[in-house]
Amino acid sequence: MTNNQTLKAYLLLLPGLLPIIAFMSLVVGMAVSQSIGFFNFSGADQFSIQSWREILSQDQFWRAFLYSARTATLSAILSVLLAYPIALWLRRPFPGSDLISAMIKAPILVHGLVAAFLFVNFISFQGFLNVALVNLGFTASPMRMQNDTYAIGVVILQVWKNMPFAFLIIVGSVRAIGDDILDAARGLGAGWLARLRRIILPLTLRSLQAALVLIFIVAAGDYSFQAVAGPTSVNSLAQFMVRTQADNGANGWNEAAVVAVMLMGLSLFGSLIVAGLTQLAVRRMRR
Amino acid sequence: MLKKVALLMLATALPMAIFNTKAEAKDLSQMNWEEIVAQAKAEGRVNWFHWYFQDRFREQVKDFEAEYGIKVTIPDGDGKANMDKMLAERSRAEGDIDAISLGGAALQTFKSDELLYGPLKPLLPEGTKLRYAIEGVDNKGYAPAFWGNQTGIAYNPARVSADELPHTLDEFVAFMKKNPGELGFNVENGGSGPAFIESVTRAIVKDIDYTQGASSPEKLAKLAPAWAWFKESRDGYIITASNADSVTRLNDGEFKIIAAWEDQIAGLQRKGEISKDIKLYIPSFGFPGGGNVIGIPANAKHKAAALVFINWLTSAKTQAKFAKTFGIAPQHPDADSSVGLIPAADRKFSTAWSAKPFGDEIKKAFTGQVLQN
Repeated sequence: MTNNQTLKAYLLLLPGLLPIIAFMSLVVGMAVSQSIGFFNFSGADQFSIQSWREILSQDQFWRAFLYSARTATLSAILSVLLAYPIALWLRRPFPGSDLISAMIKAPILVHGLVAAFLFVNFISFQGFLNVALVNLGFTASPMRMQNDTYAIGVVILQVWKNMPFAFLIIVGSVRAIGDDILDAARGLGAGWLARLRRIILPLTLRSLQAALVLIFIVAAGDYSFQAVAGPTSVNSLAQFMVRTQADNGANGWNEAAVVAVMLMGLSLFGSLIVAGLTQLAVRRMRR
Repeated sequence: MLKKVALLMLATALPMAIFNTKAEAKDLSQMNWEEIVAQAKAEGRVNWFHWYFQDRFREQVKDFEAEYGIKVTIPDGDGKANMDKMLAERSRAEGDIDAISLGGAALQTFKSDELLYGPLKPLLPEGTKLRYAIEGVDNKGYAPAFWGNQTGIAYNPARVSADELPHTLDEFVAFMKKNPGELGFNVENGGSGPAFIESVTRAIVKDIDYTQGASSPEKLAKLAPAWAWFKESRDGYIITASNADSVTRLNDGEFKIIAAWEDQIAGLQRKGEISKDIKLYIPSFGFPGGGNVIGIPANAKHKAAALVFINWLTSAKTQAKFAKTFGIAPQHPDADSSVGLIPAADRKFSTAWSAKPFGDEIKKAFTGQVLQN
């Protein structure tokens, strides 16, 4: 490719790239500036690391940080673990496979908040599940499952909502693996596990990583699932950010901006770590 | 030639700008009430940014529209979005918001003298009768209260009789021991649970002046006995997700008692969303009452109309009507306050919210010391 052609390629990218870069820079720049004392709605606009000191010294912030990291990791891994075998199963079309594929994607059409409220109604004290358990004689009285301490409800909702995305990303790369390669491996004596470890997983690694990264970022920034169905004894980072803004009067905006920057950091580095570890795991499995 | 045109335009525009500023200054602070009303009618409309019961308020303001011929527009939107809009528009010469409802404590989160027009106290005909210090925050006359709400304990008579209800702290301990998990209150998303936390704290820790908003680590350390009380009773209560969650679960029969707002219960009962049997009382150790205020953004386009609207909204007649319709505690001293869910005899147990920011610190300390510890 000549220099002229390379330049043309970059110029063609510009209309798409510029708005993305502009909006990203605006958001990140605003959050970072506010976290260091600028855009102050209630005090002097000047450089200060007071908000950083205030937030990073709080146990509750670190609890929220670790909680978000944990639920995001768990949600990403479980979503991919569920989506992967289904994608493999639907690799070759069969009667009814399109219907199954469409049903798997259905949660994409339902807003997360709607799903969260439906879920809470389903598991609530007088909800369908409890009524069924009591009437079938499994329990003597209804169980309290709403806003459970271990965030099982949140992870269920995250997996329900994000598994279709993982499926969409993975199914394309699984279908792209040619039968010739798999037949050749089979011919050379590779069993199903060896074919999965040494051929399918390495060839679908990039899509696995993409699915993990996307789901991790979505789940790390979750507010709605956590606010409706999450434990009341711990906040997600997004929830903590809103609470910080609302609870801290004059300094609320600037302290919330610190949480926002840390949330962006978690999304960036957390997803990179998850993707890196997946690569390591797949490489080890190849051996 | 272009230079000449530009100079001519500048020469025309500058005096007009000065004239406009002077005219506005006269309109807003130097007119008598009749002139303000005439100006309001000339403006013809008010955009009231309000965050709850919008559909029902659209009905209520028809009386005002009929009386003054001023159209009131109430857009949909939550409180935070409205406040964010006001903050985002603060640099515009004229914003979209003419009047904005705010929680009583919200004014501590921004510079009200810069963002709001006023003070309104000297401009309103009955301004001196109205309330400006609410939920522990004194807004210095910028935003009068138009909505009073009382917190208390709501109970489901289908599950608990009036004789079993706890009224003192000791009775609450006994109730929770006898009925573990039957008391629900929220910490986030609403003030009813924080009202319960504050009430218990004030009943246990008495050597603090709760009318002083200043907070310090020493002052917060004194609250330790209250946190010990909550920790010892941890199996006795359930933390709910919000005000609404508490009410829903009480109505469903999951809880016997919850911390609740009087106006919220009354509003839901009148809409038929919860049982009309649910009742409310104030325990003898006191529960705080608060409310919402209304202000005019400094860059409001229809300031006179907004002022006339606020005068109507805070009048004794409108407040008495709101008490009947919404179950609020009226904020005009001449309004009839005998209508309400809470028995009149319990009203004496109503307390003022602890002054901010210390009042907020109580909830934050509960979260840190009891809930997330």
